[in-house]
Amino acid sequence: MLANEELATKSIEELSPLIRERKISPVELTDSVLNQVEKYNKSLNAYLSIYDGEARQAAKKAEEEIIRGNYRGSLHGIPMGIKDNIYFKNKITTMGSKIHQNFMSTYDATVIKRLRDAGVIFTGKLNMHEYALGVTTENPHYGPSRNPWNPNKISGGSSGGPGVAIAANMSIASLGTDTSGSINIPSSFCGIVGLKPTYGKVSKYGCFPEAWSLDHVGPMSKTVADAATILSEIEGFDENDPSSIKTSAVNYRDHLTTDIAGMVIGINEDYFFKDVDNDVEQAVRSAIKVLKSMGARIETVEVPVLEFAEYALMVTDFSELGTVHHYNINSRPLDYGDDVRLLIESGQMFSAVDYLQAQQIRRKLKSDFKKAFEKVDVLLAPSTPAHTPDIGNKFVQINGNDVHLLDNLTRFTGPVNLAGLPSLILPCGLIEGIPVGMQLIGPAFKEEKILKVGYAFEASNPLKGKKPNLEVLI
Amino acid sequence: MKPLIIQLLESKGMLIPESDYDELSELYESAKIQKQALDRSLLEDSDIAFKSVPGGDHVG
Repeated sequence: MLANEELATKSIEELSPLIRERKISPVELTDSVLNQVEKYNKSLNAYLSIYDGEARQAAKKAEEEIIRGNYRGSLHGIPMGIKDNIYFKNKITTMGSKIHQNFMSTYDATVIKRLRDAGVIFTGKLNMHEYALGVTTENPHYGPSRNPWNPNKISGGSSGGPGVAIAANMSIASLGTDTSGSINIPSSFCGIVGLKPTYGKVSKYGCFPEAWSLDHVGPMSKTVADAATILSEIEGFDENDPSSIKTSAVNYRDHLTTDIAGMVIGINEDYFFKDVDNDVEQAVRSAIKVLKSMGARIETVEVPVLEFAEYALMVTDFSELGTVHHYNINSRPLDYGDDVRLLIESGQMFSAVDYLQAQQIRRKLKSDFKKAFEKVDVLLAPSTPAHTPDIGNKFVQINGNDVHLLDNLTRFTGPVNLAGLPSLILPCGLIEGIPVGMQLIGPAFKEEKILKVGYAFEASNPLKGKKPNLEVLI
Repeated sequence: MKPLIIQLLESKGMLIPESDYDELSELYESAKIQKQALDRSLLEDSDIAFKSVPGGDHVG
């Protein structure tokens, strides 16, 4: 029998058979997770609101259902905190902002409804970069979320709360949102798994927009298998989301094997390995060797228009977020944090021609990626060119040079959002005791390919069983 | 550069805190350099400039 404190450390894959067979109860598991929240949230600031009483009530209800033989599936009785830009009916959703500090939604986001129907126990709402407009989760209104591997380091963002909560066992898994790296960057820095699905695969209805043509919602979890389980529950067409796309259901679990012999992994040297921190590069190249030793073939591919992807991303992202916040930036500019206000103001500077040229680049980028995927099954790249920065820095170091933090941390993830392609982040090693992540990018609607390669790589135990030392935080 | 940014944003009805103009000017300058490189590429590549219509908000 697992001790109560151990339950919160487990993955969905480990917990769900125990819940189904009634070896553990959702009540014990929820207690275990809420105990972790009580112990560590003060130091790590992952939760903005905690649904203590309601979570325990929901866990009791789940327990009763399971005892009566009404087990709903792998997520039944699993506790999760959720990023605070995803709407819960009759609950405050702040978007990490002062302006929306009292905003209460009248409906559940589609992804929340789907998780609720699957039996998830919601433990609260998680910290984030204000309005998801940044990559650090240094939130001026609610404080920074702190990296459990080293609390002086950023958690990454904008989904920093979910990254921290999962890494510190304060949530079994979660959902993040991603516009230019907001699932992938905190997953990388916190040493967990993040999956940004293909644009249109998961409904965004009830998720506050950052930039509507770039926004995605996806799972953040402890393992690749857990990400696949959550994706299966939340994906699917939603008539309430105009960008939702009808696709056929895939049983991702069928693809989760370690047999990747013959799969072709593409490497783009010109963009994804240029101006990368030496230690990060070494960790990612070691991962490539591991995959090669498992029977995968490595091919170099070209994606020429990546050269202009950063500009196209900036113009698209800033113009769209500038539109979302156009009214408030004029009427109450000082209610935004300084960094976020600057981004919104920047969005007002670009012309219609700038925006439309960015869309031309975007179309060309998709075409270039499509050609690359005629040669390879997946692309592999570092998740970020730099290692995890300290809290409070506007710059990040790459091989001794200070470079702009926001531009550089989104450099490898943003183009993937621009093309709407799926990507999976998972840890591939440690630098100075902190995880470093790699990114697997797949063809549109082929999540099973990145999940398969990620699952095989995960089996090589890249972190060698290392976990954050949470005791030092108390 | 600063007066241009002030003029540009004021013409759009934006009232921006004075403290933000320096950083906005830097960003505008950096975007301008990137755009010049892009313009050269668009001129050299008729496939983008003349055949591709803008789009990109759908996968396909």
